[in-house]
Amino acid sequence: MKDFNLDSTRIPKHVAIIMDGNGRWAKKKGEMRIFGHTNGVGSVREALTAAVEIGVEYLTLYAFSSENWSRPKEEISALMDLLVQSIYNEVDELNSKGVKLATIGDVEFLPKSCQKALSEAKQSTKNNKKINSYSSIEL
Amino acid sequence: MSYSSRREISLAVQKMTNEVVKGELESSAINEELISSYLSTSDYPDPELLIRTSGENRVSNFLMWQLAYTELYFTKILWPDFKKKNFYKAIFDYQKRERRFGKTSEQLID
Repeated sequence: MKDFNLDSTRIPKHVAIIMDGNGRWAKKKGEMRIFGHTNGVGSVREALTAAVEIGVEYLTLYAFSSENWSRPKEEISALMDLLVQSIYNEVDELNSKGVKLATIGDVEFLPKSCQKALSEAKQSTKNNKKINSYSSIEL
Repeated sequence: MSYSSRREISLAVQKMTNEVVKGELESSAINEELISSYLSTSDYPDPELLIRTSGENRVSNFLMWQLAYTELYFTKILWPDFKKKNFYKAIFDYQKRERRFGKTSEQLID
């Protein structure tokens, strides 16, 4: 933050991010696309930490892939497993940062395991007020 | 979680239309504020800044209504390479811009 001399009186309240490029990142490394998604989780953590640090109140994350329509079934299933696992791994971190998790879009299209993980994470973080992170995974 | 901005707006229109048909809503009451309140983001202010990674310069059916006055920031960085410093850089870029909401610079000073 110090590298950029940010004006603390003009921090945006709400920042939205379209997180794109996981597949291409993995391909450049000669890996499967899911490897990119797995590494993308770290960037979610980076963005969220930075947002909390400077006082952004709302962060909306949209997991988008330019190649959505051709996404194979196995990748979707692996992505869903990654989502469930990440939610369980990150809940404590969200609570320690005071982050409340919310979602936009249609949760009912997700596999039951994802719906359960999401609803538990939302329940667990619902009293946090510092920042709202609401995400959407586009498939 | 499978989000589509056009679907979100369609559902809002459906809901409002149903209420008008039932006599619960006056069609003349439909304005920008009311439409915003029928969207899934009704609890949140509109974003001031949108960041998109990987060099694609599109909005891709994301928050179409909510992005009306949002500053757009595109970076070639692929998402797994996105770090805190890239977030700060986007905020810095945003702060350099003057947000006028359709007004002139003079009107903003007033």
